[in-house]
Amino acid sequence: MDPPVAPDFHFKASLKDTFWSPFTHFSLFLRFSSIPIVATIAADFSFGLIATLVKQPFVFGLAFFVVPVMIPFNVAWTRLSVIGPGSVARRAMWSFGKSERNVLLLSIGVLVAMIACASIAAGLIKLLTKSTPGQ
Amino acid sequence: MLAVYALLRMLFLFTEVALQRYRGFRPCWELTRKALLKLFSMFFVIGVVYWVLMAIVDVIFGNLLEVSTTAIGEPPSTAINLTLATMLGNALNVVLRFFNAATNLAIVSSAYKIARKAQEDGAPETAFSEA
Repeated sequence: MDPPVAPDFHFKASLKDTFWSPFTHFSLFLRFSSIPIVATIAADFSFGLIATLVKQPFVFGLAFFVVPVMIPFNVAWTRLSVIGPGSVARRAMWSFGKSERNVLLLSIGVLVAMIACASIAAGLIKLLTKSTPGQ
Repeated sequence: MLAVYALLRMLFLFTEVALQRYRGFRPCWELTRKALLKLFSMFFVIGVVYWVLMAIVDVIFGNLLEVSTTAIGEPPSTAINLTLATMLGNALNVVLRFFNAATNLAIVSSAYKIARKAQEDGAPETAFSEA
């Protein structure tokens, strides 16, 4: 039996559609992104302000912990992209269910894995630099 | 660097979408692998566009910040997060980040659509075991 053939993928048309997707469904984009955008801006500003006042730049890094507020937006927008605008028409601006929990866990897992890989790489580089004569 | 980032981001988003277990979402790699390069290119193009936009925002507001801090006679280190220019620059960057996130998610859904279309076009049912 012949293997299945991939259907045509119109690159330019897909790129155009994708690029304009937030504008095509702008009201939905606004509905799902408003809370996360405001929360992210507020976190950036507050932690930036604290970092400046206490003169400790690393405090600004704490603003990263606002990332979970993006999860409901990610899930809603994926539903919209995959199933269509009707699937999120009645969805609340903010909802956190099983899908959101899974995506959050995945995000944490990826973050931990990335930090672990970076730490291992940094450790190896340090070790190699130390053991190389003449360094 | 950008290519590696785009590749990692794409793999991450594929997993993210797969986790949500939508109707019949079981990407058939036999069918989608040919489209992967094009999906990756889309990530690359859109990523570059947004990174350029963010850089423009940073340059514009960075210059404004420099001018404003020089004007009020404060060293940037003490005024860096207190100027209107920085606040506006950061806010615009955050908004751009969300637009970028929305487009990235839309790209991933393309893989799903390709698989669905193939199913509708009569590809073997076994390739798409329903969730």
